[in-house]
Amino acid sequence: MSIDATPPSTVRLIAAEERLSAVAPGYLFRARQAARRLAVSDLASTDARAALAAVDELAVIDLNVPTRSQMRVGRIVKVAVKRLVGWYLGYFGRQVSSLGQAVSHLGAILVDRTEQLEAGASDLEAEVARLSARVERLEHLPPGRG
Amino acid sequence: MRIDQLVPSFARHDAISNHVLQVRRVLRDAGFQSDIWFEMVDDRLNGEARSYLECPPTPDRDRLLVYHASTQSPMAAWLEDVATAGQPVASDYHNVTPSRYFARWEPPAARSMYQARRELVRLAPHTALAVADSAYNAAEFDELGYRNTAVCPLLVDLDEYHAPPDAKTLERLRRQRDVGGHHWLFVGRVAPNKCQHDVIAAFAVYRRLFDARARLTLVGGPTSPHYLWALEEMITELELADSVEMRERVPFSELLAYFGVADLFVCLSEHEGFCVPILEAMELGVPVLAYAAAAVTDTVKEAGVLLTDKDPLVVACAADDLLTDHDRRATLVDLGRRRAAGFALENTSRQFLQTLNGWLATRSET
Repeated sequence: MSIDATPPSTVRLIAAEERLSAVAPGYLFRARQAARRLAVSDLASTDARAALAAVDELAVIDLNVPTRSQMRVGRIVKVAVKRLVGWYLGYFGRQVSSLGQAVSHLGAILVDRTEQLEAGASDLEAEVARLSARVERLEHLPPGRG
Repeated sequence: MRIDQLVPSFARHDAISNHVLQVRRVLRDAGFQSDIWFEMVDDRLNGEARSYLECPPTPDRDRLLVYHASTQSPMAAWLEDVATAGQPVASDYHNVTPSRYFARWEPPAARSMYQARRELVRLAPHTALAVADSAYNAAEFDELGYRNTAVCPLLVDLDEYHAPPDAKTLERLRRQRDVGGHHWLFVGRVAPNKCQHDVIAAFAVYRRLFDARARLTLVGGPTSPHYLWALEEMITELELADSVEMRERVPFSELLAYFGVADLFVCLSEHEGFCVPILEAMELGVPVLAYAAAAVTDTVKEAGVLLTDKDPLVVACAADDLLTDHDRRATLVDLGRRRAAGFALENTSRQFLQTLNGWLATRSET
């Protein structure tokens, strides 16, 4: 077994959590939440609902342009540009967001309909299989019976 | 006999491109004629290879075309055509990241990854020899329809990692270290599957709990700019701007300086086909703490600490355990060096050649 045989014990984790709560209340929760926000969902890549969830998330345009820069001048320029074009981005972004949400809504309806059809198709398949079995049974009955 | 390699993207300091160059060396040393064909090339490597559009498509039984599969490429369809016409084709699988990791951040990239896997499914029935660089990749390749995939690790020249590190960077990092605090390092493209967000969260907790002067360096260019921006926001949100350094473009000698001062290599990646940086860390004596996922488990084996839970508190405590237990740390460094030695170029080159010769022998028998 290659997995480390001595992960931190539960006692150690509880003690560490208590200590952290004392020195920085709420920090562990914040760290966990921040990581969770960036995590990837467990849905399969070919799952239509996973793709739809991605459209849903991307449909909301983030107008808060990042202004972080390794150079101070770079940050100043980015902040200035952000303030200058904020009104324009806001106007444009709201329309793109609305379009995205409309597309996402359409996607949700289509996925629902597809799932209903798939459920209906599998019911029909079961019914056909049942009838086929019955026909086969009847065909094998001795003449004069059935 | 001619054995040519086709690689979609041929770039400097790229693990797959380095592997391709090493494979060509091995093949030429063994007496084969061998060339490299690319779809996209870094200008600095242009003299080493040619565009695959110039590669003769006429089937030749005395030629084997080896496709390095890792991304969507029109090369796959081209190979499918020439293979259908009778050209023997081999595929060396380096893994395609599942599209779900990128769907939220970079939809075009997610689509491309989805298409890449579909291309590989189409190419499977035409592939005479399937090779993958880890057992994990081999299992995935078999799932895509390939048969009896052989495992041949990436060919990495680990001796190159003992070149002198960049003196200026090393001096700067040593000055930081003199102030105190442990140095965490992760090397890998900024991509959602590599989960740099988990490393940052764990580091944040570690710093508050155990080591207020600790530092974290994340080295790697962005595959997903949107994910990078989210990471930058996360760093600010968790008040880590002074202790986390993100380096996008790092020359090889500077990378060596980062490994030179690192106390711990932390990899919480969820999807890796092999993970060369883990091998680099082990070669350079940096202990490895990693999340047991995908090929990472196989690459690390018993030479590092593998966790099945990457909650920030668990990782922070595990890091502290490792960094404060000097005997355990020394044991892991030693085990890491031994593990890396197993991937020495002479071993991996021999393994690659054996696989190829085995296939050629079977082919001549039939």
